[in-house]
Amino acid sequence: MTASVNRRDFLRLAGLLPLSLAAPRWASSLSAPSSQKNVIVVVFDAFSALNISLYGYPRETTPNLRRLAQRAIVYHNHYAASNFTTSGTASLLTGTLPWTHRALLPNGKVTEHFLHRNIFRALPDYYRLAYTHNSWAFTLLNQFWQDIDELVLPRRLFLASIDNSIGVLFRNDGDLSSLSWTRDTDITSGYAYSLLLSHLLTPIQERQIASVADHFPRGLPTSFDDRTGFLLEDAIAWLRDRLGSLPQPFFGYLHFLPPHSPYRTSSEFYRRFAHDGFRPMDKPLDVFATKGTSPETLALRTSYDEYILYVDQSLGVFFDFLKVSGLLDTTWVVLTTDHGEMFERGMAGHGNPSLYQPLIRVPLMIFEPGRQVGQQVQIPTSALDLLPTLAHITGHSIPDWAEGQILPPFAEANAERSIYAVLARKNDPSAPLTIASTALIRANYKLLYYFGYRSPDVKELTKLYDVMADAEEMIDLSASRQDVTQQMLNELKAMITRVNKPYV
Amino acid sequence: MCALPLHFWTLILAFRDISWLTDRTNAWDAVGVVAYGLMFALVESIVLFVIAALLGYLVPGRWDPDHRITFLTVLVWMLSIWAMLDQLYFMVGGWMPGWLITALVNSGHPARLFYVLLVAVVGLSIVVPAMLVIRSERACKVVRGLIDRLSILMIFYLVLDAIGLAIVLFRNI
Repeated sequence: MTASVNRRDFLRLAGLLPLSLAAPRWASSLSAPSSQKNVIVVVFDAFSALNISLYGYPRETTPNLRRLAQRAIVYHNHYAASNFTTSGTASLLTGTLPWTHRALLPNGKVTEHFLHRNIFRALPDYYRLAYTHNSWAFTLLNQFWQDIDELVLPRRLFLASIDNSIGVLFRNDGDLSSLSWTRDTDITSGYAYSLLLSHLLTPIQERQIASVADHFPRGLPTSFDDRTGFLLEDAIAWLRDRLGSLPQPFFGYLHFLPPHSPYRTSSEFYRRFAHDGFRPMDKPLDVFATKGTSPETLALRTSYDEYILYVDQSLGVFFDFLKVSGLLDTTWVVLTTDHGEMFERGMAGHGNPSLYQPLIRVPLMIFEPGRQVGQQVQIPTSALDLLPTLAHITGHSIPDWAEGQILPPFAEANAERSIYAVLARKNDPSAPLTIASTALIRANYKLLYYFGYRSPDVKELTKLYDVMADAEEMIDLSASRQDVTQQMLNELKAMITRVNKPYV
Repeated sequence: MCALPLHFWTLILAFRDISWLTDRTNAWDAVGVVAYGLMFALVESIVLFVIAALLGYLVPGRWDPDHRITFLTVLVWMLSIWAMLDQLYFMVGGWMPGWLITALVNSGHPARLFYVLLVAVVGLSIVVPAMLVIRSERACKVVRGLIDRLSILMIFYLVLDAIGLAIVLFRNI
């Protein structure tokens, strides 16, 4: 880990040279004959489609993604099932909505009912690998451990972690020895078995962090509950090494934290957009607004956009590896996120009670093995669709509990279907929904229905937008299109009544 | 005596942790984590013993072996107690009495005063017992008696270490 900077530079500048020299050997081993293709799902946390230049954002935040999209299926109106990690990730992993899987609270869990209803169970004959930087996502992966062949601990890819060396030392028992080492030395968890090593390691760790800190002017990328720091370069390098030796066919679920806050890009992209003159559309303060000043929100947006550049660069390196190694010809690669992020209407970040487009309209790109020509899908699709789609394209039966549909072009598209998003962070998971934010998207329209909040303004609030004609959600049509509003509201309320039934 | 506090701490924490581990892995893996923990504690004990032995060369040659052993044991124990207190700070959540915070703030140099107080407390906690053992025959005898009794416990720890090592070897073959 001490050579992180060198490796980073190596990856960026010259990584592909030795890779290409090794390619023929790798390609032959990685493309070993297998009737089933591998699957890799790459999730970048809090990645809003609205801030991605590929999806029309004025700032050029994703040059690599634009290049890669030329051979991918790009979904332009894809919706997350919620606006924060726990609910959004649980929906990706179970193919059901938050009101079904009930992982509603921050760092919450799905109900016992869903312990064996997950994306890993849907691909039983695959070697299943899972990793996440995000401890809330790990809580969910941990619930599915019986269906995961290799569940890698979050700290494995954090800086200042000697877990990796321990794992190498005890090669045949790498996961457990790393776990034990973490429990032995991680003093901040409060469970460091070791009395002295834990103290001696602290200065070593600090030195390791200092060796790369200069490359991150805003501080090292960290998670919200582990301040150790990590580098995406390390994650990609680890992935590159690991994918080369996984039994095939494999399914990898890789959930990386960037561009989730804190937005800490590398020095290469620092202040890239600071003086570009970009001014996002002025929007009125929302009922849930917590931040009033727009300069502050704009500064956060700029930091977020610069962090996306860092994500995009890593993605470019990862895909170049997949291409050179031949894995791209034998592997389905899915790129998506668990939820979005917003910087408008007096709100910054996510987890607030609103469900505006920046929070739930998210990227989805599917790289089909061997595909050379891109395809654009414009009809609305849902995060729930990933599980049935992966089951379908890998030749497995679609579980009867999955609530999504097979994505186009793998099945006939239904442009008139109803897509939902649900947020109920304050609702008891074992009780009927009484405080929640919900969204129903159908064709051009999006209905927002908030209910149960204390404030009289949002005790029961309905808004309707034509998101095709008014992508910025500036004109509330709930008064002028009462017929559509009422019809969609009736449908939404009927659904809420139905999902509440088991909990009444 | 180097192994005693290290193993004592490892065992308490590892057994406290075992239900967390079992929930997330399985019983065999949870036992494996404890086995690795014991192995790391053994390595740690050996390293600490070597350091203590080297320190022993700095002790005046005119001291008899009893005084040497008790003196070094007291140093190791005090070091261990402070390490435990430091970890407890994270385990139970750090706190400082309000009056102390007020006094530090009122001093005008809170950080400087805090470090002076800390050095004084830690220094005294080591110097006083060490001096007692050196100067008082009675204190030396008490510590020596304690060492003899605790040595029996060490045999138990060594047996656990051997089991832990066997489990680690088995898992890695």
